[in-house]
Amino acid sequence: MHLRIPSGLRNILRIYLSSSKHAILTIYKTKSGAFGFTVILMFIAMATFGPLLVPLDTKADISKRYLPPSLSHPLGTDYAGRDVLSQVIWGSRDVMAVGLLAGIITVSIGVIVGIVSGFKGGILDTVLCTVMDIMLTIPGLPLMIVLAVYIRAVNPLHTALILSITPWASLARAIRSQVLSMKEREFIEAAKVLGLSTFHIMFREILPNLMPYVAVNFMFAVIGAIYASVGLYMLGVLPFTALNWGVMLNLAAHAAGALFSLESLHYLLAPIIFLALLQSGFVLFSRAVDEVFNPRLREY
Amino acid sequence: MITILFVISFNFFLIRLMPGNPADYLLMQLIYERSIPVEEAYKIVQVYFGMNLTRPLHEQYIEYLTSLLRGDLGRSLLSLNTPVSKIIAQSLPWTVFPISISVIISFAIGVSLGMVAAYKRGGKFDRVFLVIAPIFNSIPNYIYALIFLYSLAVIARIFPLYGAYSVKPGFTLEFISDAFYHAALPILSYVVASFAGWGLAMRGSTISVLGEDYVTAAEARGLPKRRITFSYVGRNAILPLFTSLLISLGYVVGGAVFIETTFSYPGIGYFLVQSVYGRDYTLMQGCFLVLTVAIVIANFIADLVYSRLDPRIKMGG
Repeated sequence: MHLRIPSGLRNILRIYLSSSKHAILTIYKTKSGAFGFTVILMFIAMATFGPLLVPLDTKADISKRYLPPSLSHPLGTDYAGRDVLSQVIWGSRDVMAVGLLAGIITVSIGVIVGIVSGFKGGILDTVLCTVMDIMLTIPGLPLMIVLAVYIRAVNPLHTALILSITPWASLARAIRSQVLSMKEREFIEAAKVLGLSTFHIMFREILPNLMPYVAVNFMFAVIGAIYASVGLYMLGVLPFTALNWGVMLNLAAHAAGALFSLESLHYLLAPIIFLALLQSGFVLFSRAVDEVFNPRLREY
Repeated sequence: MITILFVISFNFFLIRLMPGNPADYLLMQLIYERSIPVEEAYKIVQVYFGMNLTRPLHEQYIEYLTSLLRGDLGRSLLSLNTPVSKIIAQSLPWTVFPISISVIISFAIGVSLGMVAAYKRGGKFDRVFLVIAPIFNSIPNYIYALIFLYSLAVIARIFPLYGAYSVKPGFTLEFISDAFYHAALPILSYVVASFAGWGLAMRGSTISVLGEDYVTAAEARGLPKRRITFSYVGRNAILPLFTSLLISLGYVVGGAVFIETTFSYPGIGYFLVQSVYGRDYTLMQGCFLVLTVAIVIANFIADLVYSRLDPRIKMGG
């Protein structure tokens, strides 16, 4: 069956694709941007294809406990003699899934609330602003911890929903103020005079202009979500239903006592290094993107 | 204010209205498993949660509110009969003390590094700073905590593995130095995780101030360089950073959950996580509420300070 995309949507997609292609080329010219982009691509590939290529080693063999890195076990083995590399690869799937899902949820809520609140104004704006204020003041992580106790997160979507509970508010607040200033510009006036629907103005006229900003904030949201999800798994607050790097950290640091013996160093370090690499990749890439769209940040 | 009310209502909702909520659960447990008479069981639940389940819901809510206003956060479900407020009062200093010290240190380091980088922008220091700072900033604070715990406490044995003090508390020199000794690694973790963020913010802020007319005017007037750097550029560049300081407070408190747990440091974040392990709902909700109140108060103070610092901003605007 032929997949039909409505022509309007197709046009929007085409504009975004061509502009993002241009943007990526520009980003690639800066060293740190290129590094970040490559790292992110590598991790996406690892999360998508890695589990297909490398089977998860679940066979416990106590005689192979804490083997140092070797050819058959490139990252050594854990406290039960299982291969660490396979755990890292399978863990990346959950880390990336939660991060990207939470990023999408955060950005969607933030954008919709921000645009509606800024464009519509009135009582709706007041109500939404109050909600944003509340979400901005509540300490996010403790709230997520309390929620995680009541809501059993059994798949990445649940985890992502819990992690998106407060971060959308700061994006919504920023978008709202941008919409407020954009509302007075001529092209919005023109759209109003033409009698275009409010929905059309909000999402076809205003949103495309905010897209670079949204893209950068999407990456910030992903960084925050990966930070929070791995951390909450590490604390053992989220149920161990998925093999996340945080679960490995938890086992290494608390449960298996790997923290207190020298021979287990590789087991503790493996998730740490991968997490640090992924997060720096995202941060360097998002900074490069920010520089492209925000010339004020560019070097003098 | 409205945030606090929201969190209280949210807590009430979780304790009382969620399916299988802890208040009902405790009541059922008392009646069926420990065969305590129904009326007495209701009384026990009221002591723990501060609400009388026999009354209608809105009265329970008001009762819950008034008991909170009296400072009664209920009693811990696990550490039997200890008031939650007592546990929190004991742990609060151990959160405030390391956090305030590390915020000051990281702010000072970050601001100075950021200014140097901005002044020498394009130079060697700046280029290295621009690559290293984002990386430092992006690595999660609990990773630093784990690394420091492993390297400096477990392997090198320079610093203690857990706890906040090991001598009798009191206003003695011995106790104070011991407290600093135990807080050193938590503070180090906070600082390493956050100084780069301040540095980057300060760098951007300084660069934009350097382009201002009043700086050019000051230079044209032939003012000494030191004076321009500190009184003209520095003071104006720091201003916007205070706003981010407010926003970061919530984030820092969140980080306390990780760092205190990693170092078994008995602050409020540590007890929050412990209460989750033990499903100690009253203690958990109490910790959450106190953290929120602390941030609201900190925001309020910072607002006052900020309007003092920057006369362009008037309160109530």
